[in-house]
Amino acid sequence: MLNSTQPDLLKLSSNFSKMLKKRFGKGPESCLTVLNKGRLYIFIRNFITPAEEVLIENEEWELANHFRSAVFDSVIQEFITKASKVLEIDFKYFFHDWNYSSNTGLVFLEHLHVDEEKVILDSQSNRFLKVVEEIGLQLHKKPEEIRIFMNTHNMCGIEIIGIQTHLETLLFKNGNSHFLQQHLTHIKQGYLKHKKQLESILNYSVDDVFVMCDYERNRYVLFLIFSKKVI
Amino acid sequence: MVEQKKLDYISSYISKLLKKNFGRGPQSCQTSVCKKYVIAYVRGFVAPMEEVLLKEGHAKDVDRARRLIMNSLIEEIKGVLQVSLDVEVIEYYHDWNFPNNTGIFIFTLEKEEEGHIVNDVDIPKLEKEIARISELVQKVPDEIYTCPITPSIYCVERTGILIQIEKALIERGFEQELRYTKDQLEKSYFHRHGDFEEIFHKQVRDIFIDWNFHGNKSVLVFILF
Repeated sequence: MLNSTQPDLLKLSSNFSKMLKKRFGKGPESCLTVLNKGRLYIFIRNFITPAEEVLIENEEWELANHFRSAVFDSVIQEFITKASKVLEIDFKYFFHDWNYSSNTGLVFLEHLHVDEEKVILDSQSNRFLKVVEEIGLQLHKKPEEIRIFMNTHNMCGIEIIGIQTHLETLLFKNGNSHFLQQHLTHIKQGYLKHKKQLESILNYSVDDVFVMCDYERNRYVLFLIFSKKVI
Repeated sequence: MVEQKKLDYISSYISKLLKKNFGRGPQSCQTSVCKKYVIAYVRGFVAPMEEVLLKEGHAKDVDRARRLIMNSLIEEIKGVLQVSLDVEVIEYYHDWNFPNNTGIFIFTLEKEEEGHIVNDVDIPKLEKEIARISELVQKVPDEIYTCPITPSIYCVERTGILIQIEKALIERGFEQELRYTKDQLEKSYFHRHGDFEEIFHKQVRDIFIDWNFHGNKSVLVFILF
């Protein structure tokens, strides 16, 4: 991340918080924007509004998710133009995932052509990817490829490519987002169930797991957020 | 007669509560009391997040979410009413008209407050018209009771309204679907087929309907210009 972009990122964080406040009636407690290799990450804390709290208390997760996704999609359309202009990166894709239990969210923006550096994996990373693949096999179709595209002491981003079945492609084309969202939640729960196994390889304690699906490009993006505590 | 100061306090409390929970308060909230009814009429109230969903045509989800959220807030409002008016609230209703951006809270009190409205509305004719429309949709209610709240707010309680199929649907857990369907159906009939402007000698601004399915009754409120 270039130092010269830091004020821009702070400005974007503030803009984003204000947009959320305007559309949801309540802004998040904190919003941190990070730029890494042409990808923009926004970490959000304490985002749940009082109205959503009532829905969650009534176990209406699907309805809460539907509300958030619909409103958020319109917020992000506006933000993506602003972020592209400020950072001079033409962001095209956006994904978001929310964890109601930890009251955290992650937004991920990507542009059309990301210049990937060849990541040389050590034996630990190879072992980690093998475990991710094994867990994934219990949850979705065998992927064509799995790779780490971001690995810092705070988080790890994994791309799981070629996972969609014909049925999922059809559901996406027909706009059955309710079912696909439920399926994605199931996949996230599956990875969370094996958190300890992942932690033991990485030697980091995992605080949060976010899973996003890029239906257009047939891939899942899995994010593990680490706590400062080392196992 | 309930003091205006108390009614203003209740209106202000409802506005603040809506703002706290939905992120935006209503443009106005006006509370009126007459006999056993407390009516709070809310105008200009759509939460920012609801606005987006309504634009995308998800009215049913907005309706469902709002009902859930309001049901959780209504206990708080009930408490404020009981303390302010020093009387028990035995029933409550609420309904929202999204196209008009208006809504209503209706509370039924345990004992009647003083109050009498002078009106020139032919009440038997109004009740006859309500019976006629109710029959078009399902059946003539067993009882109809009309209470003018103010010269521009009329509250009508119908009891014995459900037909067998509706009772069976409620027993089988389809209350939510039934409520949504009845809401659309009854409101469209009352708006399109009712002769209410002639009866009230005024234009009808809003018609609100809510049901107490387990008590087999419903409350209708007419808001006039």
